[in-house]
Amino acid sequence: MTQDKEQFSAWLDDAAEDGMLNASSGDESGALGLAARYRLIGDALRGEIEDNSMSDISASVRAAIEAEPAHHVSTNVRPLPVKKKAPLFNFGSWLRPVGGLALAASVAMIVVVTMNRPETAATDGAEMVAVSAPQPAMAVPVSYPARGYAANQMTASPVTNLNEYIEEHSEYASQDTMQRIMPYARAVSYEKPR
Amino acid sequence: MFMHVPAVVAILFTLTFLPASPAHAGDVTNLVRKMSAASEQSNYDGIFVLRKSDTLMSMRVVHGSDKRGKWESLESLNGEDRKVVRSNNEVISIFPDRKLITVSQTHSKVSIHPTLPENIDNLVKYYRIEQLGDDRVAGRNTVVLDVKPKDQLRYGYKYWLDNKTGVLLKCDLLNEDGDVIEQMMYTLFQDHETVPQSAFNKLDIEGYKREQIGLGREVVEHPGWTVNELPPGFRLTQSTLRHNEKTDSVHMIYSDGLASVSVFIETGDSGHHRLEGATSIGALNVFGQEVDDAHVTVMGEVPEVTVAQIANSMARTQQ
Repeated sequence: MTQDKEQFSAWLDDAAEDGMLNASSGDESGALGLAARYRLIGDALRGEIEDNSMSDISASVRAAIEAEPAHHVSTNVRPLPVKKKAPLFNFGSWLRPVGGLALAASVAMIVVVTMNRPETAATDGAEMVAVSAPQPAMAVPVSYPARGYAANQMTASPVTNLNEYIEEHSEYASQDTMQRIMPYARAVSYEKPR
Repeated sequence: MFMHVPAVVAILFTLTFLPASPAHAGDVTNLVRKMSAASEQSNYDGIFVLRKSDTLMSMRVVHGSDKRGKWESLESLNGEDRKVVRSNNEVISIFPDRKLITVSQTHSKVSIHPTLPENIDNLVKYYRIEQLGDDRVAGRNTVVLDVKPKDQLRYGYKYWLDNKTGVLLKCDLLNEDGDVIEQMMYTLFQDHETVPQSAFNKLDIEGYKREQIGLGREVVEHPGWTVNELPPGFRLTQSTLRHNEKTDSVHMIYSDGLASVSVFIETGDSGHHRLEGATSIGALNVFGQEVDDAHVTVMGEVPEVTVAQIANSMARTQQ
């Protein structure tokens, strides 16, 4: 299989003859079929498919994902190692799972100002926590004099999991509301921290 | 002749200033139903602006639906260049500036309860929906709907629906005081008989990093938590569980058909600082607190009191 992948890599880099693509058409379940599906994804994403079927793109992506070995899932984004020259479709590094960074949404590093609990709920005048991101944020949440919340002491700390939550919320909300475009647009409008 | 002038004036005055008779409840729910269907089944493209707080964004949208399924692309036209293609249950996000592509699988997101269109009739229990009249948006004739909440637990909406297609061309989100806190409006809109081709422009992705995201989630019917004081009209629509190395997290989605609220419950030590109290980001209100040995974060485009009420009434259920 390793040898096959090396061959695929060469082929996907156009180092091998295109005739392999034709040979793969009758081998959908085999290794060459896998390579053909990978190439299809690339063609689709570059807009080089005449069929213009996004459904086909979706199916191809799914096939590629399923063909990849499952790795452990993490909540943190793990940037892929940078190579000097990454082949266009070296799928050994393609679609590597990095769970927790949700999709579309590019969520800003958030400057969050949290308030004390309502006085009715507070027991000891708990400290007020102010959270700041290490980088400038595109989207700055409104810090408001919340009704029933009292400003007190402020400290700084990153609320990193909020970014993931907002992404997931926007993604799911687009499926459950009638004005679907709104949560979808919100998701796309969020800036992801670089 | 002149003796009739007062009468004519009176008639004109009456026609001018009498409020338009509100549309029948069935009419407005049909309009909402039409909007819901149009957002999924129509073929169109256009450009719209989105205003959140003090930020203004412009996006190009292309939407298509045919026998192969539904797909949609959104491309930001200002700020960071990014394009998101959603095809049926898959989402491909492209970030040219960073040479990054992310692929998200969403096929596992099966709604627990049917929200649409079965839930539309329930809207009138919690919202007062009136047809305000006609207006023009993006050069097209629209009908305007005013959707006011009957309680203080959700926001209001104002919809401008395309007369021809029913597609939502403009939307205002209004807070408890009636102030607009978020706006979306098309400036260019075209509907098509067939799938528009403009989403398939050539895209150079050579050298891009690829990331697959969203793995590890599984749908769970009984997440082990419940909301004791759920605002009326909201129903659990989705519930997923994600296992990580250090933490387990449950994500529960509640919706009343217009507004969605997410509840995240995390157990274990993620190493992150966790939100304690309330905050807001544009129209999104967030409330976090510890419940038992877990941390609960509730967020949604609903008033602050709603996310706080949900967070304060979270409780474990017996498995």
